[in-house]
Amino acid sequence: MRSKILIRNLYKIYNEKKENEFFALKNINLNIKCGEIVIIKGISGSGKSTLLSLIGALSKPSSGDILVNEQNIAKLPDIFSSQYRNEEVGFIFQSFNLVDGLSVYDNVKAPLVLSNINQDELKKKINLALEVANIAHKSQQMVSNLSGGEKQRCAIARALVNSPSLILADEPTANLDKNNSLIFVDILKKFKQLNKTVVVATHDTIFDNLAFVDTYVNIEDGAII
Amino acid sequence: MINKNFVDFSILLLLKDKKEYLFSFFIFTFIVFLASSILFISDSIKHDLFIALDKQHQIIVKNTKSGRYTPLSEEHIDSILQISGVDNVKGKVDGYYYFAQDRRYFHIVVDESLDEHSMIISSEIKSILAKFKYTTQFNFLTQDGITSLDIKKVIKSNIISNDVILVNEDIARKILNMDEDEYSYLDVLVPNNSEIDFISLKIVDLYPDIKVKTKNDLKSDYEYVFYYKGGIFMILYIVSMISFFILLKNQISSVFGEKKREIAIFRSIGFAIKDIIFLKFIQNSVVALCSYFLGVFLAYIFVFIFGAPLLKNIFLGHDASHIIFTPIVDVKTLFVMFIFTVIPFLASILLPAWKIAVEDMSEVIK
Amino acid sequence: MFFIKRILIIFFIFLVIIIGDLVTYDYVEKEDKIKEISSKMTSISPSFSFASKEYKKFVYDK
Repeated sequence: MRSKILIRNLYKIYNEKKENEFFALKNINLNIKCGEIVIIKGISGSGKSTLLSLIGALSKPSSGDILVNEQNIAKLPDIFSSQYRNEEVGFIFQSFNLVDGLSVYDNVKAPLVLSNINQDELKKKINLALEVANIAHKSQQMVSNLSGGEKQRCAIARALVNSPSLILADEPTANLDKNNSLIFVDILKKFKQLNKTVVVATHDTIFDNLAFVDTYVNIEDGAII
Repeated sequence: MINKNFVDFSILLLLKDKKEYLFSFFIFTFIVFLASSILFISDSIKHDLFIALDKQHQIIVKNTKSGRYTPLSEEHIDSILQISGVDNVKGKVDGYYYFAQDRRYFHIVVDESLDEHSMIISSEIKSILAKFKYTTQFNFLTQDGITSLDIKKVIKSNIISNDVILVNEDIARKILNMDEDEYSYLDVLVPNNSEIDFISLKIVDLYPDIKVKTKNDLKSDYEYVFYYKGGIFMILYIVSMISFFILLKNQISSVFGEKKREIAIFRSIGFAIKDIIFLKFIQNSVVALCSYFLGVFLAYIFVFIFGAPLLKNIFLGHDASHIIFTPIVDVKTLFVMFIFTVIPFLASILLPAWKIAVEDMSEVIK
Repeated sequence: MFFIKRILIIFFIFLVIIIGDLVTYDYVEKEDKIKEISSKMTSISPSFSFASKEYKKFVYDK
């Protein structure tokens, strides 16, 4: 199978060459194939979220390469890394990161406003994402009025709306109860069926020993063990 | 980059945060309204005064004694007529009558077409006289006793005629207590315009106490008056703009503190730095342009349709209720005001937005 | 876009009122009136009185 993400000798150092220099990631090498589901496990502060933000081009590594679809995203200028995030990546965050004061529909619409697509296509894409995330019935509700699980599903719909090939989930179940966590696990299965490459950073045991997960990666003190 | 979906979304976010924008919208509208009103009023007054100036003679001569104005005599006329280049010199009677009951001055102007029993007054004077029951005639208190004149006609008040009473020359002399051979001013007619300054100097050489005013001197006097008034308002305007930007800066730092997360969310879903700046640009352009145009439109209606209550008194004094401003819109000055209000406003918003957009957002959105 | 259209309509109404006022105002009549009265005066001075007496004196006695 073709490589989706290839990480080579990746380092992320905060406060480089200062007294309080801190190695968030040390010499990470990872190969994730297309359509794989990868769970990155580790305790808080182990560096798993940093790794995810580097794969998602939210921040830049200190050294090393991150090849996504054989293109090095580590040194992309802002305009291209933003385009990459918009078209290739769907983020799901622990705190959902929805825009309060907007409806579910408008939150899901946000990634699409950068492209000049017509209104019909826009509506079609949003409704499809809402259906997949099972939140279509709440589309006109304000996100501030939603429960934690509903917010999570809204965030999933937003992550899916641009049909990205890569889904990055950072502690997706940390703010959810058991039932909603299990629903998320089911959605992961759906992602697998849709042939999405998914990287989940978590310390939740609910993700342990899942049959459909292709790889488990353990991180400790910024290094893969 | 510019697409309908993006503009729609920016407006949607603007409406979502409308409460935060209302503050800057109202203050900004008020400042533009005030500045435009002042501009409209002073432009209108200047316009009327300069029209009036067109009909003036080239040189006007006044006499002074101990620094006070005193009448001129026939002797002055004769000697000025001797200066080569002077075509004619006319003595004129003109002055102020103090109406003690209302503690104000009426400007007595000669109109040769009137007889000895009638006068023409402005609508402002008419309403002042009406307050004291003088509806058909008015009694002037003169040195020789009371002089009664009938109100023949009422003319519209304007910037020149507001305090004017037109009377026959003999009556004017009576009211102003001037003898037959006395004149308030002299009009000197010089056919060659290039000789005006030279002849003015000659007149002053003849009579050092005489004050000579050319048309250009009068023009600069008016400009001085309006620069003086305009200058005060300019300082007020600058002070209000500075306080506005200080308030705006405080508001921006508190609002952008909360908005940091929102900007980071947009960055995470693919908004580039330029998209964030463009989004803020659209939102604040809508606020700034709406404020600017609303301010200017309201100022126009306030000044030229409602006659600028309150502000009119600051410019024209307390007895100006009958003056109607001539609608004059100086597009060039409005454009300068646009540059000095909208551009700093946008800059003061876009710079902090850019600062936040370039920050590492991975920590903010964890 | 609906919001912008609504604002544009409001501004358009303002503009119509202002242009209507500018077009219907009789500038010629006002100019004639000012010229007529100023031609009668030897020395025109703004006829308004200033709020401060000193300032009025300064203007008229210049």
